[in-house]
Amino acid sequence: MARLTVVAEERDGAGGGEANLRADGVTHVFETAGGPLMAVTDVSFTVEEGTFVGLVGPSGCGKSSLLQMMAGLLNPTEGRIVMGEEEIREPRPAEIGVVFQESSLLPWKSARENVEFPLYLRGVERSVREKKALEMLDLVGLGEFAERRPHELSGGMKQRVAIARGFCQDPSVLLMDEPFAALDEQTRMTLGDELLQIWERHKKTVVFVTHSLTEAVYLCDKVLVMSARPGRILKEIDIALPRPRTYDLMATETFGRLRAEIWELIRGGDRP
Amino acid sequence: MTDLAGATREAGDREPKRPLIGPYLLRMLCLLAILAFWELAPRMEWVSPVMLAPLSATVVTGVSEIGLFAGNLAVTVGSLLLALAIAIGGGAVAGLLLGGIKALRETLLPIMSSIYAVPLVVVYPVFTAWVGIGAESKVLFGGIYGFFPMLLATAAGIQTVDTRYMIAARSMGASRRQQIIHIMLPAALPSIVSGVRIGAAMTAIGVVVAEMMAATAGIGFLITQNRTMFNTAEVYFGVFLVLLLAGVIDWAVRSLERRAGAWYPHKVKML
Ligand SMILES: Nc1ncnc2c1ncn2[C@@H]1O[C@H](COP(=O)(O)OP(=O)(O)OP(=O)(O)O)[C@@H](O)[C@H]1O
Ligand SMILES: [Mg+2]
Repeated sequence: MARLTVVAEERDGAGGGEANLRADGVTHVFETAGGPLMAVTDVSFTVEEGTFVGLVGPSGCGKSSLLQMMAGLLNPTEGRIVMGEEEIREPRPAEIGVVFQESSLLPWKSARENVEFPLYLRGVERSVREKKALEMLDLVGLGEFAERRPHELSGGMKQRVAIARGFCQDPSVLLMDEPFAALDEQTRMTLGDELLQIWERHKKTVVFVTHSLTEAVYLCDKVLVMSARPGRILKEIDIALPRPRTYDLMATETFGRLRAEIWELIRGGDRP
Repeated sequence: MTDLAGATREAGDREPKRPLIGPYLLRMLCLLAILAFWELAPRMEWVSPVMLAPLSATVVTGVSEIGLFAGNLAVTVGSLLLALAIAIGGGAVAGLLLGGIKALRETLLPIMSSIYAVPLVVVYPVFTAWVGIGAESKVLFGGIYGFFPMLLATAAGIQTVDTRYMIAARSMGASRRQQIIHIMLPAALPSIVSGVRIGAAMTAIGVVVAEMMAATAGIGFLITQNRTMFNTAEVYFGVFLVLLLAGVIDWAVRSLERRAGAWYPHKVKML
């Protein structure tokens, strides 16, 4: 717990972009049985502290690989990922968290145990982590389901648990790899809104991979559009829509224009 | 509940029929039928009494020589427990190592599965030539017999741990040790439990067979000794004790499975 507070304080004191997450000429080549496979090539961008950034691009363009590199789970073949001043080459759970799809919940643990797991791993005292986990579950509206196992929860509930786990870990950066991909449109919209509400309260840096362009425009401050493999950044699009975001924004011309622009880029980038 | 049933039923269907006798009752009836056959078949001379002693005669003989049987049963149980420690304990540790360490997995695992395919009984005579025919040899033989299935099941469980759990744990800062304890072991548990089931059964077979082939004491030894002397009732009482032993092992494994199943829903198959 002591450590958690320290992290929080550091963040409050930081500001001024000290915790920006940067990719610097990142290239990743997988060694496969069929020879080297270039997943992403020469990718550079900056994710400013406290912003919500989307990552979109055709399937297989290297979004997940890029996210894994940002999480320190995979190392770039060339270039580097930098957070503040430090290069990221291994996981930094206190600073960078990852929210995966629902399936990464541990089936033998209850929702609460799943949510408090990152705290358990870093040796946080039982009563403290339980309290924090319950708080986070309340935040995503699952307080009553704390003792249920994942198989007793719906897809949307599982995803809420995964998000609660990410926030319970309390890193300054949350990387989300298609967290809502397995959900139906309605649940996905609701969860998107909930995520925004939590995010607005906790002001974390979020990098959000999605295939839904509507979702990308609706949620993000900035969207990074990638080309087909080997993935490059085609363009960074600023989403100059007011916050808090509301559904009526979707009917606006700006929203439609931004969405169309991203679509044009992806479609164009897909063509040889 | 009736609502649910009604929703899934096609219109016009009748109430689902409850079976006249439940599965538990049915099982008991089967058992009873077998026991009745055991008693009646030799008495009615459907089979020769030399081949099968009636249940009552078997029990009477067994009870009259209870000291002898109890002594030998204790020997068998003792050997079995030691053999289980080798098979289950050794198999689990070896399985964890072979499943978890790539170099070991690639070199040793294929060899292990080949050995598992060999009917080891054929080498028992050679085995006794090395270790003798005392308790050590059957403990070792039973242990080895159960070791391989336990090892293979454990290794398979470790190998098939969902990589998404591992990646998630790593991103949350799990050390290597924490990954093993909190992800690999629990995820492999269903497979490990089925290893225990097969391993324990094989170990029991190994011990009793070893006793039957060459030993100086134990239930298997008693069975062989009495068979050569055509003491049919003694033979069958020995067989009965072996069945009892198997029943106890089965019960123990089942309660283990139940616990594992409660802990890891939908993954542990009850056999
Ligand atoms: N571990 C790996 N080994 C070899 N190749 C890989 C590996 N992981 C990914 N790749 C390859 O790298 C490329 C990029 O994969 P990645 O998963 O990053 O794409 P993605 O943009 O996340 O795709 P999707 O939108 O479908 O999730 C793909 O061609 C994929 O086949
Ligand atoms: Mg992906």
